[in-house]
Amino acid sequence: MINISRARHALTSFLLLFTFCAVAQGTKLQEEKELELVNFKSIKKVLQEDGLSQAATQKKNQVKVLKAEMTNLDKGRYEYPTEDEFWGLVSEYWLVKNAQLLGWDFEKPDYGIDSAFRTVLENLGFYQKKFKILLLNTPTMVRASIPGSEGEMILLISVPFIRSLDLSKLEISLLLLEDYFRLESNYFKKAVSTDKMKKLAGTSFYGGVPDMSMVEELVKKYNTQVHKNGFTFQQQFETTQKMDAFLKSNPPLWNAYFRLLGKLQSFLKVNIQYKEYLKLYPSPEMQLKWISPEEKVL
Amino acid sequence: MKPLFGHVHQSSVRTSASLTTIQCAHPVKVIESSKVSVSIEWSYVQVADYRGFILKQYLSEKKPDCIQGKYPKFFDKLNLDLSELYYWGRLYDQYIQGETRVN
Repeated sequence: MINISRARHALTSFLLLFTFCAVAQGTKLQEEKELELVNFKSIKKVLQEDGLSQAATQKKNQVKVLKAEMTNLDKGRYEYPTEDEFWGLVSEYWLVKNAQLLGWDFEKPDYGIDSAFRTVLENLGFYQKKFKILLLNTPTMVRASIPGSEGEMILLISVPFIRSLDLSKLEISLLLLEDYFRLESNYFKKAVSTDKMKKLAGTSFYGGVPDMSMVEELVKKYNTQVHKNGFTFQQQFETTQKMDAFLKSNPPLWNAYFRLLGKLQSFLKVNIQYKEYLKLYPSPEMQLKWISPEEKVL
Repeated sequence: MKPLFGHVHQSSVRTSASLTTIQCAHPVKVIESSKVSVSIEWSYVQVADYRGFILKQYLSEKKPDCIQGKYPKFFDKLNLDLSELYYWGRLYDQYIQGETRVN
């Protein structure tokens, strides 16, 4: 009996103690507990110790930077090419638009013009010059030089013209050199560029549509310059003087150029097919006079 | 593919027929096959279902900077038709390109 009574007492004591503990635990209000859970201050120290708040700030900054970059990238999609990029793009666009007329898409043998022209340029000290030569299968357009991107030159020359004159690789290279000098003097760019192009190149049309009339204007002006306007006497004089000055240091080249001008003069005089050439590139006869050594009167 | 547009050629000749036209930065798989002999200037490639030839000088291991990628909204407005895309690719086949040496 005593044992049963002791066991009951022990059980009662245990239950009392358990209830007391439970009541002591439950003294905090539910709201207080919740506040403890959401109160950042109470865990700030822990977060700081873990470096989590720093990481959160870094993340925030990263998102900010990324968003700014994405906006800039999106704005960049709405830009006009820079002036330099424009020249290369419009020149090729013009070539594509006039593919049939210029007849550059045809099969031809390797004339070795690239190595001959490279040698002439290097002999005269023109290094790191990039060029693209496009042979034309038409007698209607004899030659032209148009600007490419990044200072590159695009040189066009007619194969029927080369054949009619029976030009050698060296003579072709000298014609290309003249065209290179014309391009270097910016005659073409000055004649063709428009105010609109200068104003818009490299700018943004974000939120609007690009003004493509500028491209069409340029294409028209390319046609006018190449087929109709050509070069003035003054520009021809400057080009010929430049050829004379550069070639004088290399007598074989100078002699070849002098002979070439003579060949052109006599050929163009009698060939009506190429009468337009003289309007565009006046004139081999004058060029000969300009570079002929003065006769000394004794 | 480095140029603005280019062709996958039927044979390793610049004027050979075009299997397909691709634009700058289009990924190209270069194939080394003992069955196909390729000259030093050309690469044998696969583009989609086409297997053909592209001039090595127009391929790049890195993604090239392309004007149509840089200025997409402007370039789209050129509204190039299929024949113009074709000719733009042919232009790069027909160019005789060169560069003088560094002094």
